[in-house]
Amino acid sequence: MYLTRFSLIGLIFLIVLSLGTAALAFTAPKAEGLDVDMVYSDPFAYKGEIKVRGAVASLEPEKNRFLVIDYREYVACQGVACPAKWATVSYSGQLPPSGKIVEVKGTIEKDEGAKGGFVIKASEVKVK
Amino acid sequence: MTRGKLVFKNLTRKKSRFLFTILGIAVGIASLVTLLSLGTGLEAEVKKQSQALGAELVVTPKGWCAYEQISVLTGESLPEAIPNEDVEKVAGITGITAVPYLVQRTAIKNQPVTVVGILPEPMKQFKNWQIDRGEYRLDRESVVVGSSIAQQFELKAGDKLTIRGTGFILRGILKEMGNRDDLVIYLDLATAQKLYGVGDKVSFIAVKVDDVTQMDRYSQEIQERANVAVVSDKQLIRSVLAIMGTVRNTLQMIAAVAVLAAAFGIINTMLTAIHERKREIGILQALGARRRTIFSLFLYESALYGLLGGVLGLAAGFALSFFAAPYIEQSEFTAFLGSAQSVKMFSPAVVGQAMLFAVVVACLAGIYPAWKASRLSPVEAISYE
Repeated sequence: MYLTRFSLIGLIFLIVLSLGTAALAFTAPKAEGLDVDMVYSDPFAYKGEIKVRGAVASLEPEKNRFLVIDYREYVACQGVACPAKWATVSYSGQLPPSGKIVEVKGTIEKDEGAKGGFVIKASEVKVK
Repeated sequence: MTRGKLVFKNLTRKKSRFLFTILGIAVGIASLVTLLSLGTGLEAEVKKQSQALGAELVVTPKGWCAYEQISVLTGESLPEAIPNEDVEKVAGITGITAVPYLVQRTAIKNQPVTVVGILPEPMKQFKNWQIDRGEYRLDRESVVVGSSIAQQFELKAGDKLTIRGTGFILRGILKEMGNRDDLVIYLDLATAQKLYGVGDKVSFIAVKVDDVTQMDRYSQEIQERANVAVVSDKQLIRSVLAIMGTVRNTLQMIAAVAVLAAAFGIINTMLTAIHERKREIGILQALGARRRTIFSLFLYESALYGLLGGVLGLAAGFALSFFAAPYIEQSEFTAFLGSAQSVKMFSPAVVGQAMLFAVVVACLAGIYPAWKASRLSPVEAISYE
């Protein structure tokens, strides 16, 4: 009886573990938010605070800025080298490492010096 | 007692062992079914979007990567790199109809929406569009939209839309097409080029040919006349499926390993059953049962494990696909298509493949234990305590 109960708990544990592992295998790295390519075409169409997901392409620590490329393009191209469009993120906190997937919460602001003429003024940056 | 009854009675003699062995194979089959369902659905979605494009050839800028090729089907914004001059050269080839696309994005109520710059009349003929409400008018101040966009944002003819800071009047809403055309705002090409500051460039050109047997000739002629690359609709599908296939094959390997582990579970269960039923095997032999009969009895037991585990796994797999669908939009697997709707919940092909796989693996797993049972000598079997 004890053996059966023990086996049952063990089996449930193994099922949960295997399903969890399988789920992680096809969802990682997961991030939520608007994609960079979507925002880039018409950035000022987005009002108020938005959430953008992307991969960190490069850092500009002296300006407290970093560049993000489209999440899906990063996944498809398996790197940060190929995209022609990216968004500049201005963030006063610690900059995320290059090559990481991030979720950026912030507002769109005009900046003629940045690619596409805008920056995302971030209030929160989550490294995934 | 018939053979069927005997097999079933033996299987259910130890209920907990029966249950756990079934669950083992069910988990493996469930993961296989989930992945097959996702894969089948995505393939169908890619083919549907390709048909919606309505072109046999797609003319792209040289050097486009796979993501950009996929974006032709998904309606993502695309880099603009084919000048009008090349569009005219391609359109001038006898035997083809060419329509340029400039694919961009905007947002309505903070929701991203695809904007496509087109040549109004050629595109209307190319796509066989019909107007549902309002009029088909595209110019510097007028746009038309697909039916889904109108429904989603409660738009009607006469409404004002702002794209890149410029105001437009929504003149008409297209009849539902059942594809991505329903999710687009259409602008006059020249207006879109000016609005997005792309000069005289377009993203790609969709081409219909008069004679499909001459596709290679048309493709060659297009590349000779203009500095562009050409892919056929079939190559485009193959390219997309190849990328998806790499991911899918890896995931199916993982599922196959789970089923293999379950097969070892069956072997273990059957060997234990033989050990416990040595005396019964001996009695069967004493009653005249041949080796072939004993072999088949144990093989049937094993196959039944596969069948029952397969049925349970199918149900669990389809349930998992259903619940996983809303969460897979951002996965690596579907990032290319970005559509949770592409998950196919039920497919006869998936049912067939999964059941066949479950029964075949269970039968293979049962061969060794069945062979071992059939090789027992009557004396050894009856004398077992």
